[in-house]
Amino acid sequence: MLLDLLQSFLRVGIGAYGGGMAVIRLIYHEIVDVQGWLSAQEMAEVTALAEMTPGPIAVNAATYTGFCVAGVAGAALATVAVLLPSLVFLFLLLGLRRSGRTKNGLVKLGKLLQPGVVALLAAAVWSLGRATVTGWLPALFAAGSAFLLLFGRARIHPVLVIILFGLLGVAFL
Amino acid sequence: MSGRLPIFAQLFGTFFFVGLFTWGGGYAMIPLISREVLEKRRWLTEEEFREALALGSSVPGPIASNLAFLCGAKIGGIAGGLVAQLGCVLPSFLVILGIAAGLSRFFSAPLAHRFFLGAGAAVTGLVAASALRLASPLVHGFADFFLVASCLALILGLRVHPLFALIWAVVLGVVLRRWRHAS
Repeated sequence: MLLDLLQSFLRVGIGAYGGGMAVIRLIYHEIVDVQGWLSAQEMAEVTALAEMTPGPIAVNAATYTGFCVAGVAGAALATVAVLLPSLVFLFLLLGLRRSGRTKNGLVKLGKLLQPGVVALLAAAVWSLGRATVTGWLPALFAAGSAFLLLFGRARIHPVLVIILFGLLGVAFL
Repeated sequence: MSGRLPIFAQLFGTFFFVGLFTWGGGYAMIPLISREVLEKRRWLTEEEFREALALGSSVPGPIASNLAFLCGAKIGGIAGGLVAQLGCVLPSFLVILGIAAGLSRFFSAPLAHRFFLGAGAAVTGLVAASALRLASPLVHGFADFFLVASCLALILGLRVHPLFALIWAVVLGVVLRRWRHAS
């Protein structure tokens, strides 16, 4: 099981482009769809917790998921595994002495990956939405949080939005 | 005080501080890293920082920990990079273990369950907002829309590994670009 966990999060680490939120869908694929270690609802909780704790979301989500699957050892393993591919890339990059061509190539690759990252985010909305939007009130919550973040005055911090709707959930759900 | 501590301890301490006090993911960490590394410590010049930022976001992995590695590597070589990255990631690791171990009973309480029903719905909205924000400067015409839609169909419809969808995005992106240049 630990070996499966290691392999899963190495793959997640390789695909971890475009910020933490896109990684959620990669973890979802490995942990919910393929391994069935967590339910979609649990994955939504992990995502909320990863956003609410300090640090990069991808690392937080890996640590939480690892812990849920295999305790402290799982948490440590998943965290190291999700970071390892990026370290290998950075080692290679520093080894290549950062020639202008490699750098340009990487920036170009980053741009080419962006439509894929948008698709990952959209797929995450679909998967998380099916687990969390269970009635008209949660649907209103989801729409409200997206609206606040897109159009809210003076960019509201996402963590505050999550806590706000969490408290509304305690009151109304 | 900072002058007397060995450089590795300084790197570790600085990035531990950054990792502990930034909520909301990697992009929220960049301003704090820039303040610590550029203004307070003067480890990197603005030009070097911008280069590290570009490199850190063009390899996989969280931008914040990549940035920590690149800043550390600039000061103390590979070992410096590893120390900085460890400092950056360790706070959240410890916080999460604390929460997971200490509060596991709290999570099964009905109150917490309702909190996460609300928070989970909000997270869905949050991801939707970041998808829209990333898509709006990117998707201009039918070709861009088709590119994103085909990746989505691969992930949700054919249930391929999301990594293949990313590869597909690159391949199709290159083809579309060639095609645009030709016509």
